[in-house]
Amino acid sequence: MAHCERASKPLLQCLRSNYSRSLAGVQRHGFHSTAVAADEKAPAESTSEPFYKSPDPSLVSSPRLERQLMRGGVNPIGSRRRRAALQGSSNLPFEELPYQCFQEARKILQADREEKLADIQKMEVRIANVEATPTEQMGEQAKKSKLPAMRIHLDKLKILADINDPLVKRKFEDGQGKGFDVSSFHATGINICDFATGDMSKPIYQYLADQKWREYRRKILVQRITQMKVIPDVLAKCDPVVDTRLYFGKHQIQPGEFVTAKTTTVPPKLDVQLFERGEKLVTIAVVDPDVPNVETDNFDYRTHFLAVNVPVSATATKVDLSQLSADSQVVLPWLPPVAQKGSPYHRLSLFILEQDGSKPLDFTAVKASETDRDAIRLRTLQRQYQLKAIGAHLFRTLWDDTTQEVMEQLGFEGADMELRRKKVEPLPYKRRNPSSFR
Amino acid sequence: MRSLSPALASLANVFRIPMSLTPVRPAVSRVCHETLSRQSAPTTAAVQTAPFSSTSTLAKRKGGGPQVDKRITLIRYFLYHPLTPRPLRFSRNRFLRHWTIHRAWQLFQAQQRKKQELELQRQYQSMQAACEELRTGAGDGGKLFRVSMNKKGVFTDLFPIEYARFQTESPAAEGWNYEWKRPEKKY
Amino acid sequence: MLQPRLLAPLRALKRAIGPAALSRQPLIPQPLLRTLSVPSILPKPPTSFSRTTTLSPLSQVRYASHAAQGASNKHSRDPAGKRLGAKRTGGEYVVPGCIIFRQRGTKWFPGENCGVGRDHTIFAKHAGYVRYYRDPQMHPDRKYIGVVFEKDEKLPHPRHLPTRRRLNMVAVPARPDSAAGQSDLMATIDETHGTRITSVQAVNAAEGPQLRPGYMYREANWQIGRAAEKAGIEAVPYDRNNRWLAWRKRKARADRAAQMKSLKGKKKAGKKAK
Repeated sequence: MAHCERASKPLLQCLRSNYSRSLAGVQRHGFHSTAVAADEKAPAESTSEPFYKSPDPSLVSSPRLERQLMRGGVNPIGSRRRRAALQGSSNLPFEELPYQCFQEARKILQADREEKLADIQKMEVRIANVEATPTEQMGEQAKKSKLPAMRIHLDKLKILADINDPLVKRKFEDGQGKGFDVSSFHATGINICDFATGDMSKPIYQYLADQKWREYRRKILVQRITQMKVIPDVLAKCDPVVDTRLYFGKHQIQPGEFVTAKTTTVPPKLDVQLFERGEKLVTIAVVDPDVPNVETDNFDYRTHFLAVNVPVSATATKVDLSQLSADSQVVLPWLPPVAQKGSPYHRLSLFILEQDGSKPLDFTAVKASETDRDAIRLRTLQRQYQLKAIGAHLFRTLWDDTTQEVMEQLGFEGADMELRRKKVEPLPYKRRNPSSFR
Repeated sequence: MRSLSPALASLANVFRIPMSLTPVRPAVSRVCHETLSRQSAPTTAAVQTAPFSSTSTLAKRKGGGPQVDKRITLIRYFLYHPLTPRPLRFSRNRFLRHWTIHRAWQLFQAQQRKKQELELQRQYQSMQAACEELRTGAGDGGKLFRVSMNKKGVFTDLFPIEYARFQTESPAAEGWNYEWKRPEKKY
Repeated sequence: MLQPRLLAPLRALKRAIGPAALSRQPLIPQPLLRTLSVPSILPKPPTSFSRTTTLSPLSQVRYASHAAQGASNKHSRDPAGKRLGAKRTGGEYVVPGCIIFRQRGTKWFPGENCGVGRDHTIFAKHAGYVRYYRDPQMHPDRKYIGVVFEKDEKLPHPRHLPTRRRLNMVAVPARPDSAAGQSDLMATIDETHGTRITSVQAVNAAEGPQLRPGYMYREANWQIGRAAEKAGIEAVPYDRNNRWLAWRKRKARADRAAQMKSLKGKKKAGKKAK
């Protein structure tokens, strides 16, 4: 911090009436490396407007203003009591709290951060050098193996530079500064309170979100898809690296949840969170491996949805299956799953498959070849188009009160039939060793 | 009640063993025993009738008896007893400060370890360089080096006296205290 | 002598202080011991205590300081056989529900298409051929019993292949489930057969009062149970968070109890006065 700033701090404090402005001040000289521009924009707007026009989510305490905020898609931060207390406080920014040990600790962290920033610069220069050197000079193979390793190291350095910052941690926990537009997100009817992340375009927030996902939600997902045998039944293996959330309407579906037939008539919405840089083109498939087949006394597969060339990235995560374009993406449109009465539950497994090298597939060719829903096998598709499963989800359906109606709408054949267990013929009674019973 | 030795008293304080004969909270074992004996009635009533069953009859019956786990009762008793120290809770800011200090301390330790490691590496390498110099640069075809590397008869009879003191990275600032005199006994 | 395990840390404490300190003041840990010791504070354990020790979290140790009693009947070491063991050999054909192995504990675990019963009996869940096998990828030491559909199929299956299943169902025309079509019991008195209790056809059950067990002309039980539904009476669903309603109910009950009590007292007082 500059000396003049420190000297003028009490004066500034008197002038500051708004907490948000002081917070912005922290962000400006706080140790935050990448892309500060997005942060600086926000406080600049709220300079002269009265408070009730643009209430601050960290200060608002009246229920009316809170409701107004929430209608706009922003949730107030912390408890109302805390917000009310902050209104009258001296608004000392967190970085400047006068605790000796804390300040000493910050000094150590700052020094380390400076070091890391220097490393980042050095690394960037080195990468530029390697890129600039002609291929003949250092060999193509060496260049190919060297550059990705250097980039990975650079990403690691960027994460290390920010990982010790308490403000980064706080922002991540609060979910502030998200990269996407909050209002459009709200319009899709999805609640944002349930996941807290920072700006997902920065590597540090990607890293933190990934850690958080792996801590619990990924474990649950992997457990569900392996215990319910989706993994050997539909695909041989899947190592999820993207966080997938599935919504029917406004309701988020947990992996493996039973969903009624009526809710599944509309295509679901997906939230595919990538934890790395860049954009990926993915194929999305919904497969039901439990279609009963009485003739063969076995189960068949049915593909309920298939779309190719769907772009996802760390910031653009929303995929609405009904909004995908029919003439460049959707191969097989959504078919609502129904379970015949008496049949065992159907597992509707959703897979997100990365296309090889994120290159687009030839849509017309795929559309021409994959027409029969019952004949498609995801294993074959995977082999044919070099796909790699990077995400999965799962929900289940069973015959319920609404199924009959949905079946009639769809014109489902066998809606008037019911599956019953076959009668077990008992084995003939065989007397073992009759001579010994005499 | 007898007075305890200070060592025992402090240890008892550390381990939170009550020192008075009438502790405010009844002893762990007594509470455990009371709970167990109070709730052992349904278990004794639930006699096994089916010879192959591992489930008691009462538990098998629909609805069953009251399904109370005694262990949970005991855990709850001690967890919510007023004498149990409260869980550590920090406010948001205080937790963040705590976290910052913790991270800084970890970072500091890591830096120290790294530094030490590097220093050891440097010392080892310089020793190796010296040996290499001895082997190649002495001009005697490496004889001196070979003789110096010969470890025969080093640890034969006794343990080397050097190992009796702590091994340090560098010798002491004053190697030998020449002024040391044996302290005279005062009678 | 019963010694609780609780004393173990104290013993460790004693050891940590060292024998020198203890030898100088040998009596010192006594009061400390007393504060924790069970035998002095505890009431005498009841006779059924040995049952509960097996269940207790803090199990107690019984040292062999005395010879155990009641050894006279212990030597009859030949109880009746329990008919355990394999009921079906490997490769034998089984149908659903067929018992394959009876055992104490899980010597064998249920593998593919098999279930385990309440007494760890392994039974078949699908018709097929029995296999006894090990699956080192699932568990290194466990032995499994499975049922396969084909005569020459091997277990365990490779893990990356889809699971082999059978539907084992038939398609029949769906019957609409009707809550009203329930049957009921009916009593008929006949000269030749005496009293007989037969079930009423489901279609006839709603026809009205009939002679029922208990020699009464009445409606079926399920019809009586649905009387409120027919009359269109709806109960307010119980809301446990409605503390206001709960308070009012409690108040009313307390008031009524107080009233009854006062009436009772008055009667007695009146009698006494007479």
